Amino acid sequence: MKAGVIRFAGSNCDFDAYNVLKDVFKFKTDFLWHKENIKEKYDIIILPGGFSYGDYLRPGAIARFSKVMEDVQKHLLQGRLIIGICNGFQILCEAQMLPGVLMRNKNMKFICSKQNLKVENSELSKKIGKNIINMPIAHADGNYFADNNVLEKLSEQNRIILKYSDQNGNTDRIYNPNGSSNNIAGIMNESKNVFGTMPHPERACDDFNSINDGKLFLESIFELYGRF
Amino acid sequence: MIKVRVYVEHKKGIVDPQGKAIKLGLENLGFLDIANVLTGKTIDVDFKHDNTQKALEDTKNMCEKMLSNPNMENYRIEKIN
Repeated sequence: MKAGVIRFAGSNCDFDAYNVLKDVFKFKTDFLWHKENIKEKYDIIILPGGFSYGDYLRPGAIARFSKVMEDVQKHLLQGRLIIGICNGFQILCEAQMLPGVLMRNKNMKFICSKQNLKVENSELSKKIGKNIINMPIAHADGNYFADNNVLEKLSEQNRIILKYSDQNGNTDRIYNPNGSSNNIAGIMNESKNVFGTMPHPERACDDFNSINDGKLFLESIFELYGRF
Repeated sequence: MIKVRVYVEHKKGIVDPQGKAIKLGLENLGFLDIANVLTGKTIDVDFKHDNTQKALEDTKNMCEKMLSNPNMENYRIEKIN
């Protein structure tokens, strides 16, 4: 199993993702530099969290035109797994590899907390073995927005993977930290190989952090949707 | 040399939390007649040449490709010199 973690100028969760892939999942893992083409084929490519290009213009708007993204598109078309976490999710939306956009949080604040999440996709929750998981969130622009047609399609096609909720899985508006449409915290593309999530699974993968739901979450995505 | 100004604005119906915060601040200052405050961005692009048509066309392309996001924003272009 071979995994790559892209480092954009301003990525700051690159080592978190790298360490988890290498030490927790025991994958052969490389860093991939944003200015270079990807020379090898990777089974998994992670776009990590951070503030690529200082979030200038819009989060992800400049990073999406990095040289490395041409090869991310090729990996996408070959059915390989692409996972964007936080800023990585924003970049995937800007690159139109996922629909919609992540706008400024409704309360204008940077939110950093542990977050209850309902695993909305039934395939995934079955694989994980529970419907509600807990992972950290840390973002200023996580307010997912898409027009009603897109939202309906996401829902119909079982492509919403995570929703903000309370510990019982209630997805009422009051449990929504950032104003996102339909409490959406994570989605996938139509061909089920591109994933975007605002919560940070890579920060919830070991016993030291007392939550390892991130490990279950990633493991389930790898096993269900990876082609290994 | 041509200078072009791009205005990027929120689409109608898109929540503008920054505008709402500014409105609150202005009301605290005593400006109580405000119905709405909307924020946006201006981006000035200076070209190296004098070809107006090319500058405007290029700027339109820049807006579609990068400077605005059609999910949430509209843009307007204006030649400023």
